[in-house]
Amino acid sequence: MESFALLLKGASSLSASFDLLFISLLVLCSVVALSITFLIVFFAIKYRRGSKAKRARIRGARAIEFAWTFIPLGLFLVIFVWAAKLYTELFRPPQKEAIEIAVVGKQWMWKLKHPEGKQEINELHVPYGSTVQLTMISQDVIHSFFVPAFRIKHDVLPGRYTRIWFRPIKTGEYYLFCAEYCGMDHSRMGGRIVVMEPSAYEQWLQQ
Amino acid sequence: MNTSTVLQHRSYINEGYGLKSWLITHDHKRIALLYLISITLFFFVGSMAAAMIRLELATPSGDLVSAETYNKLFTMHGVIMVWFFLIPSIPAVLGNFLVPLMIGARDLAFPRLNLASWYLYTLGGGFTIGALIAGGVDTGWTFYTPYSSMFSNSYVVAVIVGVFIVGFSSIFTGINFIVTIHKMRAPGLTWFRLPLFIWANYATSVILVMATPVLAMTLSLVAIERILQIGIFDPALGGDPLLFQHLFWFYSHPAVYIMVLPAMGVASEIITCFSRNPIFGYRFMAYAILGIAVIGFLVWGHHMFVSGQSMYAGMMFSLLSFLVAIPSAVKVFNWTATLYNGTISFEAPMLYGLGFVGLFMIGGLTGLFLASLALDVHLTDTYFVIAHFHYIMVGGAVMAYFGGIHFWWPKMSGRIYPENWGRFSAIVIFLGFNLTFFPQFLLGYLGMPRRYHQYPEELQWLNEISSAGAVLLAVGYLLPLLYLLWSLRYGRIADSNPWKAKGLEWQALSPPIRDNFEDTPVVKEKAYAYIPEH
Repeated sequence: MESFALLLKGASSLSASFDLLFISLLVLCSVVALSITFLIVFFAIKYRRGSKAKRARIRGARAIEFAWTFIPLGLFLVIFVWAAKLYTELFRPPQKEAIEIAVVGKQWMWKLKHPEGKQEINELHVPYGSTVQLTMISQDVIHSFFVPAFRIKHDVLPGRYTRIWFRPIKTGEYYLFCAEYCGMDHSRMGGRIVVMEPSAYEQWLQQ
Repeated sequence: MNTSTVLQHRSYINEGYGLKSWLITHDHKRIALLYLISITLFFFVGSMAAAMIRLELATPSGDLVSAETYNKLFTMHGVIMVWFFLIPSIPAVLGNFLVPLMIGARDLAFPRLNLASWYLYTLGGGFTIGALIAGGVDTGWTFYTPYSSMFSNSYVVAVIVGVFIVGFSSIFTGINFIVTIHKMRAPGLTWFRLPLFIWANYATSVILVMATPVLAMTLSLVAIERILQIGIFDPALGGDPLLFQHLFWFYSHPAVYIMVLPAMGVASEIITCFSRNPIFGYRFMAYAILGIAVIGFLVWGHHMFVSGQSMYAGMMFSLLSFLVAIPSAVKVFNWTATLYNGTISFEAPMLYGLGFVGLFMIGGLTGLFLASLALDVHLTDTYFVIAHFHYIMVGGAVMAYFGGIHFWWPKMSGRIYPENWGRFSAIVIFLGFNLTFFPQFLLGYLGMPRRYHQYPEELQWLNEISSAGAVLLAVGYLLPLLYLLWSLRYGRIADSNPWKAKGLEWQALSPPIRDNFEDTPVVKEKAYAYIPEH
């Protein structure tokens, strides 16, 4: 949580693959945006009224149209498949036994319960390296469980369980937000995830 | 200074005087001006709410207004800007004025329906403003259930009634445009000779007519659950909260295209005129408009990737969202290519037009991040989304709207606006816009959720830049209000075609006579028949 950072720290097993996709797409889009901007400015100057630049007819307009229809299509399909594949991982926790946390959202707090029976409010302590599986439900309206450092978010619905998992790979404290607007104190409905050394976590559980 | 303050000919403006002659008019041009005045009022009301939001967010703690007030402010901003400004902006003002002129018709097909649509707009606006004065609504413009139907203690039903009513004004306008464009084109004006502005308004009208009823039904269901406690969306009563999101976005995603398609039409008119070039790839541009309108109906689920919708549904919606981006990309490429070999001049409308292309492109490219499933999981419901759709709707639609107002101002008012002020404010708006919204991409990526009254301290510097940009943007929006009003009295008298543009509307006098044309024009050439210098 250092200030002035433009890069968001990643702290889960999925955050590195998220970042790779994000940065790849960022590079691609920046190249496109800068090229188009360059062309617009270049044409605007070169062909300004009064300039003596030669103005020839464009040949092969149809071929150009097809090129800039199908080349983006190909690129889009690659990005789609890449992002979709990563998305499926969010639905499939690794097979290893996971720490099952029960999450209840209500206006405006998170209640979390460890398998051993220990309960927390607006804070979740977990050991790093273990898979943590959240089974979530809401008591009232729709909320959304959002941990930016883990690159995960999932809505928490009334009347229906939703599940999400993560595996923290760095100790530290990370923001937990409610990301679905839920009424007056929506922006206060958050807290922190505390990722601990496994031994410290065991000790904390005993307290 | 000005040689004459009296308009020479008998035009639609001086054809009748007095309030009554305006309030019972059937003239599409006068109705356009009624709309212009009303949506300008709503634009400034909605902007005031935005100003309060940016002021509150200048500091991390929620200190300026209470959380409850803050929630009502962003709801008011969204409701007013979406339904009372953006959706009617280009179609109901510029479209109303220009569709008959551009196709060589004397009026829209149903002039009384046109007037009725303005009255419904006013009535719906009155309901909404009334509800806001009575105490406001705090659901967000999206009215997500069960919060809106069972939990909110604000004036939800009154605002729903307002939006329901204004929906009918959209439908009336849509029906009117569809019939007019089908049946009232001038001799020789075939479909593929139509200006792209007409294609865009045609596609928009189809969306208005097909999607708006779904919004009306959806909001009615919210009101029914709220008043009668019949379980539709609230699981506690046996309902399904996700059903609401499907129905709502089935309208509200196409609604985005209602806002941006007409803007694309305006940009095409301006860019061709000021580069003295026919549009590059006319047919592809027309097909792209239709493609966007059709595929736009099939992508609503991309608002719901983390909602609990099935993984496979998410994949289909993601794929379709990438597909709808293709015609948008094609349009950007074609506008750029239209500049190639042109003879380009930089009057204010062109600055707005070029600004539109750049900002719309950034809005579109960031849309790819949100269409990418795994990326959307992190980015959705954060400021990244806010920045993305403001690039489309404000950077895109509002820039084009302002560009169009300047471009057709001589035709509408018979006067020329002060050119240097026009250029200056276009640049101020462009800079202010980027300063306001670019930092919000970073905020969203860093994890700042939307609709947050308070936020972590380390995000303050980006929020401060954004708030400072909003001040600049406000100046940029106020300037045209002042100098355009000034020009009504002191501006130079415009001749019928001050830009030497090619559309039929420029054959009519400025301002046009009641029936638009002395004789029905006959069309013998394609749209944008500018002759490039070779």
